[in-house]
Amino acid sequence: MTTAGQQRAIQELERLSSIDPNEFELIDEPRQYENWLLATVSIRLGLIEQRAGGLDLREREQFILWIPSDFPFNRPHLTVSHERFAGFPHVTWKHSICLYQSSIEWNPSDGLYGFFDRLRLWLTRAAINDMDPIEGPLEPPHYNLDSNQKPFVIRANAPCPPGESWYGLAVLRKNQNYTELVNWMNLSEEWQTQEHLAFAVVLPNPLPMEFPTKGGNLFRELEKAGMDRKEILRDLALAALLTPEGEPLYLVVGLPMRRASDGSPRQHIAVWTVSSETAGYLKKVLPDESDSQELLNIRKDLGDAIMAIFELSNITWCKILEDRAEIVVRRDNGTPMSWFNGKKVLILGCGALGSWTAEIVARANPRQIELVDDSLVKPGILARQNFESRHVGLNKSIALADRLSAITFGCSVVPHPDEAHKFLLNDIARFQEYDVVIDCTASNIFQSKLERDWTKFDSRTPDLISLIIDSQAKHTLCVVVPKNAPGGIWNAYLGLKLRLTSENGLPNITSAFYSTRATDGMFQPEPGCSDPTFVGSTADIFSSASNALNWAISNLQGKNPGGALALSTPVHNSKYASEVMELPRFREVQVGNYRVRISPHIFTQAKAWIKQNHRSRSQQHETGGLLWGFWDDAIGGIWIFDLSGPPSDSRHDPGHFICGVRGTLEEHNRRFDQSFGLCGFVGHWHTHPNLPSYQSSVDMSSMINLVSTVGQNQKRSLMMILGSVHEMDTAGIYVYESQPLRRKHEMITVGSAQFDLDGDRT
Amino acid sequence: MSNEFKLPDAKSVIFWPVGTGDSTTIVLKPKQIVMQIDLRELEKANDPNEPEWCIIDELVKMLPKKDNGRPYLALFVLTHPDKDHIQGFAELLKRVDIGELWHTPKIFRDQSDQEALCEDAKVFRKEADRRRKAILAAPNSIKSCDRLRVIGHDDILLDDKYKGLPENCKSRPGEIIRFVDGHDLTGHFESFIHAPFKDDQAKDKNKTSLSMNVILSEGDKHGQFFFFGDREYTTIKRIFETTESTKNSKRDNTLYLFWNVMLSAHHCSKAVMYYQAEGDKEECFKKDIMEYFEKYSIESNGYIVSSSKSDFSDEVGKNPPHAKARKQYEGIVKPGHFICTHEYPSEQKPSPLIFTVDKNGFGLADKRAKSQSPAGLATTVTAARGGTQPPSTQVGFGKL
Repeated sequence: MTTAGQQRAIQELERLSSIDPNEFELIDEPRQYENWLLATVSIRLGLIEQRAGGLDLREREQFILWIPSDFPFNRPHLTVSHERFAGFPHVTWKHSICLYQSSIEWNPSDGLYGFFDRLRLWLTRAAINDMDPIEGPLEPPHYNLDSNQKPFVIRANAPCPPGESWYGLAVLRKNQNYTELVNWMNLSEEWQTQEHLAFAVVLPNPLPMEFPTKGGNLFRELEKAGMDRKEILRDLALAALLTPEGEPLYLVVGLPMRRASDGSPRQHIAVWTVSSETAGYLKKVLPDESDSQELLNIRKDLGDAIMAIFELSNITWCKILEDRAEIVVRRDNGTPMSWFNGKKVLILGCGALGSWTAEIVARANPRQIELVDDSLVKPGILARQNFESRHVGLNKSIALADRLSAITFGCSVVPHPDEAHKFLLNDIARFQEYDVVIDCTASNIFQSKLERDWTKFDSRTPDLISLIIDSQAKHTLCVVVPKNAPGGIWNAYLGLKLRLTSENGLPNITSAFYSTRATDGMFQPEPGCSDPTFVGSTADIFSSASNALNWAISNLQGKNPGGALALSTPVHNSKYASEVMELPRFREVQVGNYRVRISPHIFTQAKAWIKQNHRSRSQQHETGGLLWGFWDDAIGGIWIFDLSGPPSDSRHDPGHFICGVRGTLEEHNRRFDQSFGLCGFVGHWHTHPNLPSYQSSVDMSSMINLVSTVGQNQKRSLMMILGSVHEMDTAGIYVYESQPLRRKHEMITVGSAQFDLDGDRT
Repeated sequence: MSNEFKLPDAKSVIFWPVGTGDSTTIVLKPKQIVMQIDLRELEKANDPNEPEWCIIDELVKMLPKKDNGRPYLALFVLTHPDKDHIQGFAELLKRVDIGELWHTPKIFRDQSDQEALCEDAKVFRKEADRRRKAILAAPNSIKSCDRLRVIGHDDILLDDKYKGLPENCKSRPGEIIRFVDGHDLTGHFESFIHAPFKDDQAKDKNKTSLSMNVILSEGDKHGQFFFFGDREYTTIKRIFETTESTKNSKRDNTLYLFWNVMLSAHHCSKAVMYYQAEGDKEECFKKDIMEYFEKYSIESNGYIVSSSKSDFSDEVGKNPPHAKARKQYEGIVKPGHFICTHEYPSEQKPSPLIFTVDKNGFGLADKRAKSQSPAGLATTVTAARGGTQPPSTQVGFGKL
């Protein structure tokens, strides 16, 4: 069953292929495969810059898009059917292309257009072999993981520099949820019998980026890397000798396949695991001094038999959680409430802000705290998240519940190892029962999905608080959405952005969150294999969380709850700055598939233009102008923030208004730049004096011309008509969109709504 | 279109922007020996505003001159006598001394074929017949401008008219030719004859096209150029199958399947890779032929040239060149290695496409500007998003 999101993807693909099928072609109809929608596209690359070592590209390449059911909130996967890209950086399992490091780089509103922009950038870099700059971290190799095995936390730096070979022992420390590799020992050193040991071999040459899945292929690659079959069998047998009875065997393998954050080469540590049963057989392969020739032959035959089994078997590796000083960048590197009593609180996201917020809330003695998060506790996050080392490997909500349980008394702490949006939508009645919901996900994907589904809550929502910090943890934004508000967190953040960018009273905060430099300074704590994150210490985060929460709860207790806080933490050479702002309260009108949210002041502005028109012309003359706002297809929302009057080259007649263009492009660019992309042209408004606000044939013709391929090719546009019925001012809103059809035809869809300016929709 | 253009001072293969038709000039020895494969001279090329080039004017201007002061073309090869491969031959013959002619016997086949020939093809046939008579009259002292080579197996060569032709005036598929107009070019040039096959001759003109693999050499460096004329799927596939069957035999000819440059057959016709076999409901894409092409592209770095206008289309009656054929070719070459003669270096002002073979080996001094990123994709995405700016022209509204 194709979802609404997948339908949107099909429309976007058809629109892309309708532009120039020689450049971008949708091959055949997209087809369903399980929950995915599969679409094949053919893209012409043309004569592009290529350099030695670059990706082996063809003039025309075909790609397969795997569009998830949750598109556009989840990004598509991209594969190719051939193996020409195998082994190239950011190509996994020969066919799969990694376009995004993490979800924070994905913009749902831009859908497949942004996706293909990203692909273009990827191809550009791949062609000149600029995928993995030498100064940057090398992504770790890819291999089959054994999900039944506990992860290995590698704490000890590698025993030798990359490019050298080494044989020895890895000293292990076993914990409930993970095994630590804490030290290395030479074979000549004295062993402590109580220590857990694993045989370790460091190879001088790398394996392919994707470790072979079958034993036979792995053996061939290991031979190339400097380890022949006899050695493999001997090393496995030695590893088996060190393995306690009934436990799986671990063979630690070091390979020169990583880099540190400064680009210098490092060892990658992998742990090959073999079942306890096979480990038992392997022990019997090692010869003994007292062996007869017959026994030696039997051991050799056994070894050959085991290798023959390995040859055809899947090879599995343990999950590695890096904590080596030589690899991992510490997150604090370089960086300087009674209302809750008895309340039922839901905290979404148990990361940096969430874990400390939860502790702040937990210490305020609520009746119940529920925690929602679907990610794991990793070792590096202990620098600034509220977990303990014994929690490593556990789900965050469970781990945090465990920690909070230790500091609360009489408070029920309930973990939900789930994704926030899914959790809320799974049980709408449950959502409505919380006293307050605190969003600490810092996820625009979650916030926009919630906004899309806001109407499902039927105007019965609890108080919501959301807080985010910038990439340097120097600035904090917090919004409060009061009970039963018409819009959600995303709507509140849009209102806040509009105010901050239009008033520009806090330029540092505006720049920190919205400018092109907003993500500067983000880094990968485990180079090459983790989501980019902000730089910040426990102190920074605790400070942000506590300040924001103090304000938010005060706001909720006020007479007119709802609003926003923007604050800067005082650091070297800067002052504490904060501003509390009221947020625009939009009027919402459903127009076709869109929720149109209108800033009420635009009607006041329109009336002023109409009066001026009456004074300078007559009451029968029509007038109009442009509408400014934000159009978000992912959410299905259009925001109208502002209205401007007729451009100077407009023509006004009784019964006709021609909207001019003079200065409009400059106005669009000025608004777009000032608002950092939030506010731009969304449509036109005009009047129908003394007539209802229904569209005329002239209006329809103009709008079709605007959005169709043969006209201005705006693809979509909004028209607002201001009229009157029985001396009551009314407005009509019309949303025009062109939908591409096959064979270069298009369909124009129109959504419409009528309402009176002083009351409700009519 | 009039242009200042000179033949390169290196062995080279030049593809001309002459509309949808073939015209390839090959410099076998700079300033001495030049050959021409097919000819397409359009009248409108004299209009400086038209993109097509006057190839005969260019040849007259650039060819080496004989002692009598006339331009000298050592060899003219006719792949098959269709107008888009022979147009302008009568004028060329008047203005240029042509040392030797190569052709397949098709031009002498049945009367109905001969009547269907265009005027230039008839002139070619008359000239070939003149040479035949001259050779038969003095088979031991054949002079330049009387030389002729008939390529193929056809029984017509056994007719009384031809059976007296010396063997050095005949070639068969599987043979290598290293002599041009009496010059021994061993070490500089060789042409391996792939087709026509013995049983091709009763078929239509396209399917009887001369197909050859030309190797230009400079020391130990080589460049290979594959020409198929207007052949289609079955007969091109047969070329690969026949030659691959010699692999590891005493006469292993698979070397002559490789290419640095392949002139796309029939001006980028889809008939090369789309075919309706008996029993098929419709025309199907034939992956095997594309795999053959890809397999023998030298270092996977070959160029495919479409000698055609840039009006690629799949609409009935508007091709070749076919858009779907272009897409298939683009899928097997490196970015920028599919070149249409009317898009090089730009669609607005095309000029000859020159591949050279010199001491540095095979090369193309590409005149096109390279893009930093896939430009078409950027344009497509921007256009598909639609404009976000206000309209650029006035928009009328109103109750009337």
